[in-house]
Amino acid sequence: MEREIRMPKLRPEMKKGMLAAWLKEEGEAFEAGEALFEIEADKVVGQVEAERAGRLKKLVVEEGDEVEPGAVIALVEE
Amino acid sequence: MIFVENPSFDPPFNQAFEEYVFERAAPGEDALILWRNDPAVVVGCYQNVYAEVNIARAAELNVAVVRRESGGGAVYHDRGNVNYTFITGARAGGDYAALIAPVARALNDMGVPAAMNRTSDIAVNGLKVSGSAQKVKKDRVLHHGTLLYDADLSRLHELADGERGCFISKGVKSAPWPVANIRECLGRDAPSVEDFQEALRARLAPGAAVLRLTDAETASVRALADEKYRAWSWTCGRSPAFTREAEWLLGSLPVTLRYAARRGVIEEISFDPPLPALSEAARRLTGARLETGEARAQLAGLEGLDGLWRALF
Repeated sequence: MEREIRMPKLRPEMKKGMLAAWLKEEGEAFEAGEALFEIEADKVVGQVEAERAGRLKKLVVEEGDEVEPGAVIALVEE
Repeated sequence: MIFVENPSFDPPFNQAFEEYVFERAAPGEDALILWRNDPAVVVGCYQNVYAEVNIARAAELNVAVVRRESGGGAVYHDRGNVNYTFITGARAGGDYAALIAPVARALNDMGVPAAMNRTSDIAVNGLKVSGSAQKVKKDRVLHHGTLLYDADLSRLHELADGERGCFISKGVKSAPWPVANIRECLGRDAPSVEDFQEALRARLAPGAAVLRLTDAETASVRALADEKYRAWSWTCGRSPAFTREAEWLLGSLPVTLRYAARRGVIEEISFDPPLPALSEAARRLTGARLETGEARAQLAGLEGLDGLWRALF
């Protein structure tokens, strides 16, 4: 199954967040709990982990790009 | 709450110390570290270090340049600046108000009319005396901040005063604000910076158990400092791709240099006007790391171009 990963909110007031770094490459598989990416907003760097195992199918947002919370940033296959 | 003692003034070691405690803090246990650095510019995790600080000038002044794990902009540290680090549960992540309030209260208690300012600063009469930033990982947050007590503000302005001109890059830009030292509002009887640090500790972690790292743990911190925080690949190589334009004088002739760099390595460089005397320099600098020693070495032996390396930074 394919699932969208969306930009999370680091704080309730967050208007936009920067996709700071992908910690996995396109095509790479990952286990539940593995760190997938880091985002930054309002001087908070947040590391985000996979909730379940999968494979990173497509990166939609590039490192350094700013998007609103809820925007699709990647597609994963589970 | 535990208080972890860190008597070091070494900027890369201190960054590693914080990370070490953050990675190992027991779940449910809150920690406080108070620490000071020898002169350093500390940039945010996702900043372009070259756009934030002239690393050639910092090296000349013996000021360390270090990249930290938290977000935000560049800050200047010296022994007149006290840093605090709170490590706690991630539910406090992003909640600056809750984490800054005890620090502002401690200052008020010492007679400093401090109040929260912007999202993550503390100010006295509108002047910033403290900035803070965070790293959230798994179920923990590391929240740390500066406290300008008696820092060299002229150095601060020279080395960490917002983004420098003529850089185009992604990444996080600093957001400067007028600053002041806390000591200035405490009058003649102001305590020394050491006593100020002790007064903070008494207010932020009253009765907390005091922990020190064992020799083996200190050795691990030292190893992390050497591998990561002292490494060019972390501090400089993690900068986002950027282009830069700078002016340089070849004798009395103004020359514009333009380069594009990725991961701190020059990918392309050109000079305007494209003088023959500069073509060998361009050839040698293509593929060179933006590092003062390497830039100087690449240009060594080229006549009349002695100062060109400096214009790269």
